[in-house]
This record gives sequence, structure tokens and C-alpha cells, in this order.
Amino acid sequence: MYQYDAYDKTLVTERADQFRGQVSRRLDGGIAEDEFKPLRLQNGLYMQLHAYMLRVAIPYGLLSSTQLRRLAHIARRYDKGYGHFTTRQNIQYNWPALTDVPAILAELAEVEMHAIQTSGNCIRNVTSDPYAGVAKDEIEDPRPYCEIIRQWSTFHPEFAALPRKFKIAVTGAVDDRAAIAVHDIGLRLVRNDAGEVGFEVRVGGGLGRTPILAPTIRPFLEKKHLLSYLEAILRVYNRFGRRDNKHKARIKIQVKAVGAERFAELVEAEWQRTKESALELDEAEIARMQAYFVPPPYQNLTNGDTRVAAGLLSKDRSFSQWVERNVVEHKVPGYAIVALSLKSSERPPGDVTAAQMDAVADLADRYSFGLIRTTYRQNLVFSDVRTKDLPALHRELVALDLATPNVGTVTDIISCPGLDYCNLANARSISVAAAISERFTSLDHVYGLGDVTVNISGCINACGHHHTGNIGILGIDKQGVEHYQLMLGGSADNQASLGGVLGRALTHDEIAPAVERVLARYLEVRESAAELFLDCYRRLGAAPFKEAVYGAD
Amino acid sequence: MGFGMPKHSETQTVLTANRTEDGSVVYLGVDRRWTRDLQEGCRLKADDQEAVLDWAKTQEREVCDPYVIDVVVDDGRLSPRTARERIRAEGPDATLARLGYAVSPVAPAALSRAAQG
Repeated sequence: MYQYDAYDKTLVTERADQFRGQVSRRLDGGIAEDEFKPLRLQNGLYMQLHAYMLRVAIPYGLLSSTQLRRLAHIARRYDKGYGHFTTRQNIQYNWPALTDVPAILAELAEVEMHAIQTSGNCIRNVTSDPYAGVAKDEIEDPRPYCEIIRQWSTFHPEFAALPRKFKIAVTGAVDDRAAIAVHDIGLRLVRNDAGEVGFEVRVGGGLGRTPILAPTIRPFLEKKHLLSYLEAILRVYNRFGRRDNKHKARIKIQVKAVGAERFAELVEAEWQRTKESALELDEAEIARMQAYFVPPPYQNLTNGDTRVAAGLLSKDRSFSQWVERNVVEHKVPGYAIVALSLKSSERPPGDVTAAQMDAVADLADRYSFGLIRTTYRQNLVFSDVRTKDLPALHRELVALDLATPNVGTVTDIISCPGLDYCNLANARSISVAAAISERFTSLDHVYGLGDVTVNISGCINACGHHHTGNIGILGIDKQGVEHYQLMLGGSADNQASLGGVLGRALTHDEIAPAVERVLARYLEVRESAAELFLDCYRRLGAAPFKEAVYGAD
Repeated sequence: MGFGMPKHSETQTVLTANRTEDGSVVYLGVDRRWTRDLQEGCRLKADDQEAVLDWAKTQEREVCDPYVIDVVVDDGRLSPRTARERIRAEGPDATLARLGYAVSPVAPAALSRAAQG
């Protein structure tokens, strides 16, 4: 992974020192709250319902075991013993005292971490494929480009005060596991007819109150032009994006207003100014960055070590279920990608305790070259586990309650913190996720439903990506009472789509039974077990599911 | 400016904010002291709300973003009218306890500070 150089170290250390002074002045009365708020937001510090919330950046979801141990220490020392992994692959602490935040930032800086640009109208943490570098369907590892973008965008003076926040996702694989269609900029490494690898550039996607799938404005961009082209996009947005209305200020509104074709023309025109500049990435610079992401020292494993023993799979049902749902094929024979489910019935989705973080860090050292990935779907990943180590790893994860064999199933729920924590939320999300999970405790039933995504947001800001859940749930406020809209048909994968509202909003007690009825109807109307819920919905439309939830008209 | 109990009123209001130092939820109590306990919150007279709120806004070294909330009084006990304010008053404990968390845990650093006074 990338190692900080002297510039990086100076930058995060000085930022921590600077914030210490700002906090001190705030508490002494030297700075008013209106003046302090933008300063704390630039350091990822929000005021939520019950406490401050600190969002720590995990660039493209990649962590070392040392960093994870430090996150555990922070959870234990300064918070309430747990953290929450988000859909942007970051971690949030829900209870830090303002007086402790400078110390937290200093502790983060020691392990090459920070909370810079995790809030505010700037370029946020770049997200990526959690299987980057190890996926079998990968064209090229996206992480070197993510790191290049991270360095370019960190403290970029021209883009420190954009009309609104700005999110970039990069994938290098055929299957989109980074939800690039719903980002301000979505980049996909592709191969052109000449066999060269470059970027497909999509711009103007997003969720929130105006969900839009990003159109492609350039099917192929040479890698050397990555930064100059991104700079051109940001300049067009920065100059013409709306600043008069917060709800119309994202780039998606601008792209939609002028049309993707016209927007592309504006970018191309601007690009002529940035194209031939110091922003051009030469091969040496790309190679320098790629050197940080070379494959770990894999063993040359023999045939006997490349497969999970069939006897073990048939003998141990719990293990075989886990292999089936949580283990993914690796590009190197004898290795596997392992998802650690953070979706047990014991915790809110994405939450992990300090003890679990420490234990995961130890397991990463023993089984996966000391690296951990965080995922868009709020799970963790060990990217490089020897297949022959899977039984031992499984036993250890079971003991940690991190082996729920439910990845990609109805209980692998994305959920924002919702009204239990969030100042913006209208309704609780965590309790809805729990209520749904409680209705699907039989793994046979869960597996019978096949792959299905359930995404829950406590408000229209859509941190839980409800629009792209096969089943999406949106919390709304009706005269002070929590209600929920049920949406069906969303997807964030290659055939991304936005879910449609099924009918009238439901109460907190009604929403989980409604999800159960939708899936029961799916089992009745699907063509075969091979037809996934999403495909079934796309074939039949909303009518049978609407009838299942609301009854016949 | 008065903090007395309004007579014959169905709608009651209380002033709330978040404490600057740690973000915790507080309510304006008697003698203009901030309290963590909603039950100790002073019920505001309608005529006084604006003046009390203006005063609270001058207290930003101690609290942030003060505002007035509606509460229902039942047998002398105050209950917020909205789900949001109920959760602010009670914390996320109901949800978290159900999921097995120890409720109302206090961060070790905060405990240490409290012990040191």
C-alpha cells in the first residue's frame, strides 16, 4: 500500500496541530460557532444528535493492520468502544468529545491517517473496488490511480470551495463493485479496440433528493490525461455549478441541465487548456505509484493447496455455507478473497467493536499479508488468504461473530446510522435493519431468496443508498412520526438502476413485514430459482409486489 | 424573561441545545442552568420563547444551536412530541440495547476526566 512521504507526514501533522489551536480558541470563546463550524467540518467533525461525530478517511478502503489497531485504540480510548464503517469505505466514531479530537487527529497522523476532506464542499475520499488487485475480472488495478487522485485532490486550492461535495469512484474490473454510476465522477478502467487501457469517464451521477445515473461523457481517456481531464471537469463544475441553492448544487444537476453532450463539450474545451501541462502523468510517475501496490509475495501453491477439501465442505455445513457466500475466487491459484460480514444480529450494520478490530488486525497479519479492505456494502475483506487456511480462519471469525454467511443476501443490509445518531435523519435505520434481519433467521430461507440487496437510508440524503437497493427503504417524517417509503428495483452494479416507490409510506412497525411480503411474493412469481429478485421485478414490474404489500385495489 | 409554568396550556415548550465541549444534549433548566435531564427542563411561556432563545444564542461557549421543542406533559412528566426529540432525550440506547450493546457506556477518557473532576 502507499507509504507517506515527508510531504504527507508534514501535511497531516500540521493539520492536527492547527486544529488543536482552533479547538482551543473555540472553547475559550475566541472563535464563534459560525466561524468554527467550517473548520471542524474540514476535519470531518460533525455535530450529530447526541454528540460530535468524527469521520476518518480510509483512502479507497485500504487499511494496514497497524492502522486498524489504531482505529481500535481510538474507539476504546476516546469513544464508546466501537466504530461504524460507511458506504464510502470510511469509519465514523459517534461519541468523541470536542476536547479529544485534536489528540485523535494526532494519533491518526502517526499511522498515516486523517479526517481531511471527509466533509465539506470539496473532493471527498476516493472509493474503489474492495477486490482491487486480486479480482479475476480485473483489467488493471485501480488503486495507483486512486492514490494519484487522492494526492491531486488533497488540499487542491482551486477545489477547496466547490458548489457542493464531490465524490469520485474508480474501478478496474468488469463487474462494478464501486457503484460508479452514482458518483459525481465514476471512472472505469477499460481496454479499447487497440488493446490499450484507459478510463471510461462517467459524470453527474448521485443519489440524494435527485437520484441520477451518471452518463458517460468520454468512453476512453488515455491514462496520462487522467488528472488534466479531471481538472477540466472540476473547473467546469466550479465555474458553472449552482451556488444559489444547496439542493441544486451537485454536478449532476448541472450535467442534467445542459445535457451530457453539451457538458462534455464544455469539458473538452476546458481540457485544451489543461491537457498539455504538468498534470500529464508520465509513465514513470504511474510506475512509481504502481510500485506501492505490487502483489504480496504469494506462494507458488501446488494443486493440493488450491482447493477447499471437498470432504471438509460436505462434513461442515457452517463452513461450506461461509465458503459459498463469503469467499470469492482469487486471481492467484491457491488464494481466496474473504469477506468478513459486519451484518450479524448483534450489531448495527457496519459496526465493529474495538476488540473485533484488534482481532481482525491480528488475523490480517496471520492470514492476509497484514491488509484489510473496507467495502461499499459496509463489510470488511481479507484479500489474500491461502485456500488451505480457510478452515482455520473460519473458526477464528466464528469466535469473533464475523463469519455470518450472509454476504449478498437479504440480511447483508446497508444502513446509515439514521435517527439513532444523525442530525439530518427523519427516521431510524438501524432498528429497521434489525427488524428485517429478525424475520430472516433461517439460512435455508435466506439462501432460497438468492442474491438481493436491501439498502436503508434514514433521510433523503441517501447515505444508505436506498435508491440502488433491490429493496430500498427511505425514512421520512410525517408530523413527527417515523414513516418509510419502500422502493423496489434499484441496483448499483453494471446495469445500475434507480428504485421506484411502491406505494404509500409505511410505519416503523409495518416496514419489515412489508419486506417479508415482497420477498414471499417473489418466491411465488419467479420463473425459477435462477431468476433473481431484481430480474423478476424487472420482468413483472411493481404490480404483484404492490398487491402483496398493500392488498388488491 | 420568565421560566414559570404556563397555566391552562396544552402545548408546552422547552429550550434545548448541544453542549459545546462534548456535543451532549442539554435543556435549559431553572436559573438558566443547562441540564442533561429533560425532566429538569423549564417549560417556557409562549411570550418568553423568543427572548430566552436570543439569550441562549449568546451562550455559545457553553452550548451550540439552541432551539425550542414541543413537549407533552403527562402526569407531570415531559415527553417530546417528535421521534427525533424522543431519541435525543433518551439516546440511541433502546435500539442499541436490543442489539446487545452495553447502554450508556461512557468513553474511558471521559470517565477519567470525570474522576479527576
